[in-house]
Amino acid sequence: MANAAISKPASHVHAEDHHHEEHHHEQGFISKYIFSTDHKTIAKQFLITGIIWAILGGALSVLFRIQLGYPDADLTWMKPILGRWLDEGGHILPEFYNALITMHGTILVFFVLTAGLSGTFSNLLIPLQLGARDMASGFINMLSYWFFFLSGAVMLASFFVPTGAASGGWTMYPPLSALAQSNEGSGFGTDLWITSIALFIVSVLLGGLNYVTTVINLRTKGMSIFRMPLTIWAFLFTAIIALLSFPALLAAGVLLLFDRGMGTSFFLSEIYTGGEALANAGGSPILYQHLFWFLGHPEVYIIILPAMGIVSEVLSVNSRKPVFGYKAMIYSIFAITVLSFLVWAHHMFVTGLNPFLGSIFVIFTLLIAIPSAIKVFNWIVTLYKGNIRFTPAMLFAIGFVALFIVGGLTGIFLGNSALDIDLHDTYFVVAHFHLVMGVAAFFGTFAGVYHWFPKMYGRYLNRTLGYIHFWITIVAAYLIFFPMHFMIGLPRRYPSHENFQFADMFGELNSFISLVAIISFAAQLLFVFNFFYSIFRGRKVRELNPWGATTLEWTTPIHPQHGNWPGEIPHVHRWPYDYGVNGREFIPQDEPEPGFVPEPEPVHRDPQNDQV
Amino acid sequence: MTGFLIFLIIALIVVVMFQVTKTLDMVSELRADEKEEERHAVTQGRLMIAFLVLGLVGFFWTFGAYQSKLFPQSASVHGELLKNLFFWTLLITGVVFVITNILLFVFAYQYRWKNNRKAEHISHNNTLEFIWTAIPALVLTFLVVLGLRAWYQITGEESEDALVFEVTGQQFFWSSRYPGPDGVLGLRDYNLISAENPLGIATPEFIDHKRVDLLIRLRDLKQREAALPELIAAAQDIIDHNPNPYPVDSAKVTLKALLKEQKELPGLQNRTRAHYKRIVEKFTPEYLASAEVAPLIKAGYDDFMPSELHLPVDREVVARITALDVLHDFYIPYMSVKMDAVPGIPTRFKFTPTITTEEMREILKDNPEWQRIDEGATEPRWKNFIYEVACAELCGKGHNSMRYLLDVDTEEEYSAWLGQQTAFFDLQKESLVKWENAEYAEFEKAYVFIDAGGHGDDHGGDNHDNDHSGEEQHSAASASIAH
Amino acid sequence: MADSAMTAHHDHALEQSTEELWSGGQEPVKASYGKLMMWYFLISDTFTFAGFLIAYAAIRFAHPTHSAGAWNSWPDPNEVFSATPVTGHANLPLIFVTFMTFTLIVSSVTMVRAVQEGTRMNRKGVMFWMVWTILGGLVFVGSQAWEWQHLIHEGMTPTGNPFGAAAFGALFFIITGFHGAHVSVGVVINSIVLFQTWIGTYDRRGHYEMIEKVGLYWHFVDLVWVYVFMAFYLL
Repeated sequence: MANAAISKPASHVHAEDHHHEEHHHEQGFISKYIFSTDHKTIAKQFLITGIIWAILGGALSVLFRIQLGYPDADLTWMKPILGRWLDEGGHILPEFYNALITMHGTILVFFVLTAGLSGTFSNLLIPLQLGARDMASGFINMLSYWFFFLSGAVMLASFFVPTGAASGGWTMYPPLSALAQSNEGSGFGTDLWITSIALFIVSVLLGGLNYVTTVINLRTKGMSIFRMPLTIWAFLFTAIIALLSFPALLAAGVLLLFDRGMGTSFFLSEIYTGGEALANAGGSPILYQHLFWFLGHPEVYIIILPAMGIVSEVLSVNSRKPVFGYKAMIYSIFAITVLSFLVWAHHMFVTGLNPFLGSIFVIFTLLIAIPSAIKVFNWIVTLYKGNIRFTPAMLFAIGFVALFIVGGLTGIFLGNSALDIDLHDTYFVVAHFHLVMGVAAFFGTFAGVYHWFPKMYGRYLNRTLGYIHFWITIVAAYLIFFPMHFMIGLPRRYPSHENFQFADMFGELNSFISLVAIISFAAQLLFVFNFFYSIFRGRKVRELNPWGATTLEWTTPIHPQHGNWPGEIPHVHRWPYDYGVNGREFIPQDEPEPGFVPEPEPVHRDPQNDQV
Repeated sequence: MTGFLIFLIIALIVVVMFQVTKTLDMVSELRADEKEEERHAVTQGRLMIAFLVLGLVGFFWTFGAYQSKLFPQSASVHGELLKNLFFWTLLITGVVFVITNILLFVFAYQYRWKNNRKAEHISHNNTLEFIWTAIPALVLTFLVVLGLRAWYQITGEESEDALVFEVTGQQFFWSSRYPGPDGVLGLRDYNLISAENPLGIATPEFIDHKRVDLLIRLRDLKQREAALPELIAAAQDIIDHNPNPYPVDSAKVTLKALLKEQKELPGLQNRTRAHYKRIVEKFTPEYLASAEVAPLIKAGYDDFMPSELHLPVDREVVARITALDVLHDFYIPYMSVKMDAVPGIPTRFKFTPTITTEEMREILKDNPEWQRIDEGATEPRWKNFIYEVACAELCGKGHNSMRYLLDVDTEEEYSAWLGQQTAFFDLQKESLVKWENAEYAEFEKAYVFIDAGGHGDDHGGDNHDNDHSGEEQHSAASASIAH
Repeated sequence: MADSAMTAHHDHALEQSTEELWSGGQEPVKASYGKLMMWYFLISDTFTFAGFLIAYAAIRFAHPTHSAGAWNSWPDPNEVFSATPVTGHANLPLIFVTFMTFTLIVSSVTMVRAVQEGTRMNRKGVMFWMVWTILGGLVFVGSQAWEWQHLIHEGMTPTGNPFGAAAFGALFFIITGFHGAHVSVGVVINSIVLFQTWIGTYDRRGHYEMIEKVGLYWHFVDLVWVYVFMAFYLL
């Protein structure tokens, strides 16, 4: 790492010079598309890998939705794939059901909505919108992707372990996850899970280091911090949260590995299992939960902040208006960042937490509602008196706001420790977090993909398919998750509810939800088709700035090369939201104020400019 | 064949999609004129309004439609408190939900794209922003105050005469223990758990019983270890010399199992020995006689373990919640009782049931959801109503089958039920074993403290064995406990 | 990119206001991105160590102190760490670890000197002090290895030890192991940097910033040791 870091400032001139003269037109396939250090290529790698993981994670959810909605369905025809995870009647076994929900959660939270969202757009937009030729260290950036890839490979391998993939829930609470004899999936599958997550943490940290340093050091001239688009603010704080919260998971994972393999007792105490009283004494399963949620809660902000940034930008561009309350938006993100580290124990209200401690966490948790509310009101007013272009990106951005409202409001129920006694680990929670950080974050991602696809591939995504995709998805999101709020006492992670009188009354509703879930999954495949079709065959972009945006990424060529700008890097003269001023529809950030006299630049050689 | 068909269908769909998308792209290219954006704005704007209206209708409709699925009444004192809190939160968030959604979608429709419209440059408004910071802050303060009042009431200390009982979760069932006439739960230790003592109640008799249990187990393990080479050789013999495929295959399976067992036996013996030593070390006569422990040992004799929970109505009760193996969560849906069961760290939950099972049946009688007659049943659901205990923390493959029953009785019914209970110790005392001191000494010498002279093998082989103390110490302890 | 900006602002860097500093086109905190990355990495790594040390604190305070004398009471460091390779089992509480700590702190001092020589572009000086730093690191890691093998010989394993609470051994091995791994990685990186200095890479590059970066890492490892030392040996 350190080696790569040095090689840039000084050797940059020689290396890049050489590089461009020799290979500009015939860069090798491998260095261009696979081991690329170009932030745009790495962004695409993150996006496509994320899409593949999303399909897999979604498919897992279809499987367990079939189990929940149609418990009598005979899946024998899937025997070639699912093998011994089906019983003789073709039903999903409970241990496999647990593995399904565990992997669905892990994949979606980490691989799709962390790497796929923040990895894609931080990489794509930070250099482009700040006016940098690339990330601070392209090499570390590349490493970040390949660690992610490796982590995915390990996770994928865990599906093929004889005892099955990890099945202790994505939170992987010990003792269940620590004792192989207590749970099939807690065998080798869980070792792979921990290994994969450790690799993933390395990836996130390498990425985060790059994002933060790039934002601080590599802004172009005139790009003062309060001229940065809200996307960048969001990515910056996301990276800061990631750098500070993932280490706690790393520590928890290491300790868990020791408990599993070395017979230590960090999280284990006085356990009687499998007919044997274990020697472990003195540990605490609750300690793991503290360490886990010190990551786990900030993690949901790692997921939602980039989506918020993207949505702010897309709403503003397509309303042809500045985002309302730019500074209030920044301060809200900052407040959310700080508070995100002070609320983790609200996931633990019913673990026997000290009541006084619990009440502190209630106060901090409900405090987060204030900056969140500010953001929502600001987004809504951004639309007011605008001239709104309903591109698919804009629709998804509006949909994001709607979903964030409903999911955010149910958070007020859950943050109140007393109410949480009723709601903890029930379908109310499932509905809440799927709306607020699952589907909403997806909407943010979709808004971003539809909006910046032209920048990534020089083509448009098909607009009609985009509309269909949006309407099916948003209607489905409500049909799936809104009724779940009414399954208020139904415990989650139950493969079936027939054992209980109180739970066995949602059969029809569950079938309905499952049906909608399957339809909405199919609609996502429509998007996937649109995505890959449009990369190769989509309508070509013919103008530099198709959305009429002010930010710098649209000043690059339609197909920017490594280095982004063929000539000088543009200088910035104004904030990113000059829409509807001076009688003009918009003014790009790099346009000088009238009467601006550039100060004489010191002479220097910019290797990339010499190419032109 | 089916695989091929599926592949064919997928391929066909992709081809069709491909052509359709291509056409769509061509059409949009052809129709791309200055009016294009306006056309989209009209369609999408109308859809927005339709979505808003239908959504709001659906929002209110679901409240009506699912009314009968929500539980009609909380059956505990704090449950009613929570219902009240839930109602206030729902009211406030509901109002915010409706207003913000209307604004969002109406603005979207109102300001949809028109070629001749000019967006207004409105960048911020400090007054407005202050107002919508202050209002949520005030409303949230109200909810926090309401919530924390309930929270402290629920988590506060119980009254002196609260009835104590204990529930224990393990994969995948619950069990319970009541303190008996003395009102105090006896001492428990997970090391003492055996078939005769499933919760590990600690009385000298149970301790002795567990020691015998472990010593016999150690002997059996040792004998098994000695017998294994012969069995392995026999299986190997069949594999090597029998031309017949059937016995060879089955012998291979047997051999594999035997070799595995042989590999695991030393570790198992080490762990069992360590287990034995833990008991001997912990339950010394001094410990059993100490001022803190002695009364608790005594309190264990009259504890009873019923097959389902019974609680008197309108009396404060405290559940002591424990787990044996992994995390569980003691959850009574109708009473807003939910608390994790953590191995090694007992938790508690205080509540007061307010409605007896009988009364609840009467209440449910009018609920359509409970008038249903289940498949295979002859009576409507409400007639069979009984409070259920479930597990609300993922605990493995049987997580959804941890059903336990709770009957809320009138004071008289409860007393009658109490009268029928027999102390667990009395039920078990016939089946408990106690040896003479000489027997313990002989077995311990043969199977527990076998490495007295040589020592050194203690750390190898198995990691779970945490015994590293001197041997004399053990012998002394075991001798003293035996007297 | 960054280098052009650097040359642009170096002349009038001193009289810039904060607002100008953050206006883009330059390094607002006057540190190259490499150094910044090292800082952020170290902050992040601090949180990993903090995670372990918090686990240590939580588990330790769940046990009785050593004066309680119970079977599961926390061991007395004066009793556990009382041997040295020279004197063997003589009762010299904490003498050896004091020596280890001293070595590590001295190696930090030599690292400071190396950085100093680097700013003077003195290749020989850098090499001289880097060698001493590396030696210090090696002595520390070697001492730790000796202490580990000594304790293992005494019967300390992750699952138990003759001194008291089993968790003591587990935490000791994990946390000092994690720290030791950091020191070892530091020694390797320092050796690479020494080699690069020797072949004149930094002279050609025109600056010895690399020494500053590995210096940051080395001081961090040293600082963390102070906390680890406090947790296991003093408190």
